[in-house]
Amino acid sequence: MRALILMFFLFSLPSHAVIETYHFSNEQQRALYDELVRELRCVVCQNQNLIDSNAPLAQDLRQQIYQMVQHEQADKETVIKFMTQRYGDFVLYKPPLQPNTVLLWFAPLLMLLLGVVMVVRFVRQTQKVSHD
Amino acid sequence: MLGELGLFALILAAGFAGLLSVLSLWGAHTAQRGLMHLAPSLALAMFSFAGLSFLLLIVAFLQDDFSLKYVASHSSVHMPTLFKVSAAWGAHEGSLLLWALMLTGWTLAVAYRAKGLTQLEHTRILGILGFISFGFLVFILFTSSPFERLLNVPEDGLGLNPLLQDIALIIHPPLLYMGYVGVAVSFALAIALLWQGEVRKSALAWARSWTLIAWVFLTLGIALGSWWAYYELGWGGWWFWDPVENASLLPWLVSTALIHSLLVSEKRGVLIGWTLLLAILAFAMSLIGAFLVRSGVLTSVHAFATDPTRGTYILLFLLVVIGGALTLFSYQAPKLVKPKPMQLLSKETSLLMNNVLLMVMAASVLLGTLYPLLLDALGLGKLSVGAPYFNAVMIPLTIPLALLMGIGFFLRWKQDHAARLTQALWPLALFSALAVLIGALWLMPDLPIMAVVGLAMTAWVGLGALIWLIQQRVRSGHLPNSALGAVLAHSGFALMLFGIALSSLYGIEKDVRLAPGESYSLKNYQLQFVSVSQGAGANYLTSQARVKLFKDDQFIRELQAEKRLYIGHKMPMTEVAIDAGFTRDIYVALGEPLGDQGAWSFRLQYKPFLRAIWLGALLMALGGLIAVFRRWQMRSKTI
Amino acid sequence: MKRASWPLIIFIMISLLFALGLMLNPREVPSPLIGQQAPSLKGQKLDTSTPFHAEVLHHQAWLLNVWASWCTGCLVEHPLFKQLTQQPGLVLVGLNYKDEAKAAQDWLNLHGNPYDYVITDPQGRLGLDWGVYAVPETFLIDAQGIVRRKWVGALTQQQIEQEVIPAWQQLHIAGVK
Repeated sequence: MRALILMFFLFSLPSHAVIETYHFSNEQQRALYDELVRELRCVVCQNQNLIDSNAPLAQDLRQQIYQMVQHEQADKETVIKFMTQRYGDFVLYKPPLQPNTVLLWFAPLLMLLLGVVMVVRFVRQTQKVSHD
Repeated sequence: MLGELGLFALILAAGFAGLLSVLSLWGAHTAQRGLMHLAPSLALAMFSFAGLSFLLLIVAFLQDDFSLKYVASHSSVHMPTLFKVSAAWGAHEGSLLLWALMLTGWTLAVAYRAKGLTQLEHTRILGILGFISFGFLVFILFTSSPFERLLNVPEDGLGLNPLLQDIALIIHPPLLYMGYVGVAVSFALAIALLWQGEVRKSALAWARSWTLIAWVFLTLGIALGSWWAYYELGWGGWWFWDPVENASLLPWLVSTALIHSLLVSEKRGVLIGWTLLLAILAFAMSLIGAFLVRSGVLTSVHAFATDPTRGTYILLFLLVVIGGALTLFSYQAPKLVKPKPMQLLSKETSLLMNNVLLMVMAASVLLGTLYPLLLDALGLGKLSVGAPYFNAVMIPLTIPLALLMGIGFFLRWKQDHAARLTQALWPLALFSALAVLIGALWLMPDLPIMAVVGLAMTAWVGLGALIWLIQQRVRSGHLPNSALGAVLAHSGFALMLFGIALSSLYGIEKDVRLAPGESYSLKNYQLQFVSVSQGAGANYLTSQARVKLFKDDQFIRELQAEKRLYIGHKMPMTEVAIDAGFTRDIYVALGEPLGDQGAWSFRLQYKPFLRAIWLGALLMALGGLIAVFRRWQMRSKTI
Repeated sequence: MKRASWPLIIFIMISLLFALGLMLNPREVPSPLIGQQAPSLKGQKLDTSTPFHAEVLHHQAWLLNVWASWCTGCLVEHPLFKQLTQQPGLVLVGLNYKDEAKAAQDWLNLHGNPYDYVITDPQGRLGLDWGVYAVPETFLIDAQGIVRRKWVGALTQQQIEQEVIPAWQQLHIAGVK
């Protein structure tokens, strides 16, 4: 039964974004809005940011962000704090650097360093073996 | 009746796959020539029955046989014939059957192309491919049969999701699956070689051609999927870092590393253990991708209908195949390695370094994709990892990759010297600087630092390949046989970098309200909204907006952006209008009616050099193909 | 540790993660409100259209159920709420989320009204403050006004019997003391 229900949701991604035309008093506010609606996740959707989703919740959140950016002159941190207070870190597509994301943010660099060190060591090792 | 026949054919295919696996591996183990000679015929039988089963599924779709649950759920009498056919692989069950069919097809091809392999190696490879095919066919039979019957036969089916009723989506899955299963061939070879504990040069040469072909398919499949997402999803993006997209990128990154590592191992007889490991990992990534997409452990916009039992099966299969392979590797690899001396400044070390970069990229993509799952499993919180993270990680990794790619051609095998190399790189450095300067002047005054970086990478990689090619031509009087494909592929990558940099840094995206007659300017283009008319298509209702495109107030053409409502699916779909060009795309998506003045909302985009991304991918694939054909030519000459 | 064994070890760790992942629900988002002071419930009552005074909820544990007449899951869990109303002292507050007053009232008349109070939230403003993302949702708030639990999706009989009622009872007894 569950499989059957799920089957109807197959590929049921909303394929058209509801296009809203908000007016901003300046370009910085528009840029901030554009940035936020791309970095925040539509929590109810499968995997979409706010701008790409036409879910009612995404529309509400876009409206809320517009409200905050345009009428309350809120900065990025304020909006992000507002959202995480309500939906948690799940709402952020760019996870903040905090204890549980240290690995996420630093592992690529560490892996790269480790890789380079291992290549150099490996090459040196092959030279040693051949000298013996 | 057809359904039962299809199921029966599938069972027979699984049976022959099992026989192929057992008899070949047993025959190879006991060195019974008779059993070993059977393998190609068994592969043929396996492929034929898998093919028959797939064919019968398509016939069921063409006949609107809604007594099959799979047909009833994904087809409908109203659908155009072409889409009825493609609906056969439009969802989980059928796409898995296509996957298995392609695997048996690759196996068959391998069965009849054994040049360069010993009979023992060849038989073992077939046995392993037979085992993998068996695993997939049994998976279909037990958890995902497309031939399941419905007790109450509906009058009409639900129809294919409108998003998938599209030409690109007919070809995209087959291409991608050809790539996913294609890497199984080099995987099977790696196992066979580890098994016998001996690696010969000609076996590696054999693997390189097969890996290249799989890589070409992967490249084309990913590019096509990205292009489809761009024009069909109505968002104007071409890559979303969705788990499903990442699942396709992972085998691509690893097989790209594998191609280069195979080159080193074949030419110099070094890094053999590493090469075999990459061959195992490339297929591991392809299976992990299948697990992620089909098990439901991650949320994705493209996810298939998920079912934990399917996830459990794939996971078990993954454990047997990849776990087994890596166990074999951990025992046998140390016996293979006879370290030959390498030098830090040499082509082989530089290729190894680039391999490391590609693998760090793959590991980072995998980490980012799995991180939410990891935290959730450990109870450490729930978070999302999306585009901002992947961009932040991948862009810095691309810079050293590009740097090494440019140098690579000029480096010498075995040992190079800093002084010689610097001298050899002079022309490249000079021309790259010149190209960046010209590019920067052309982009001025709006010149973010990343634009300079993007131009520099493009010039370094692209000119690096071209200058080297010209130098070779001048020196030897003819084009270098083996490396022509590589030059093309590297130029394609350069072109892609160029497209990515310019379209993302200089693209404009605006959501605007337009009343009839009003226009909006994007750079030196003007878009004028004429009117919206209502209409109906074969299985949808549509609102069609006419928008006139002007360049510097000169009329160019009229664009028609649509919004469709598919009957049955009740799903609004955006059919965007795109005026495509190499230097820029103008993209118009129709939104909603606003007020009663006839105004509508639109999403308008100006994307400079966006096409360079897919053109670059095409060039890369072409390079791969040329490399394969050149190798075949050279082979037939030498024999 | 042999170097050639590392890939196997990493692979086994990833497989283990996958096995754990099969048991998790990736779409369930835990509420950051848990352990925090509950957001306000400044709204109008559905039946009288008069302001709701949240003071009536002070000094006791209570349940907030977010519902709407258009929500199919709500209809699934609705009959089960009888069991909640049978608990002496249990206060069940309904938050009518993004709904029309008439449709909501008709729905309650048709299916019965288990709520002690129904507050309207036609624009979803209160829902936003409560981090509502998929109705129905149910919150448990203690006597100090701290959110203690949250359930997303239609509650099942089993959940009500084994989770909601025991959790409420515990807080209720603590609140009475």
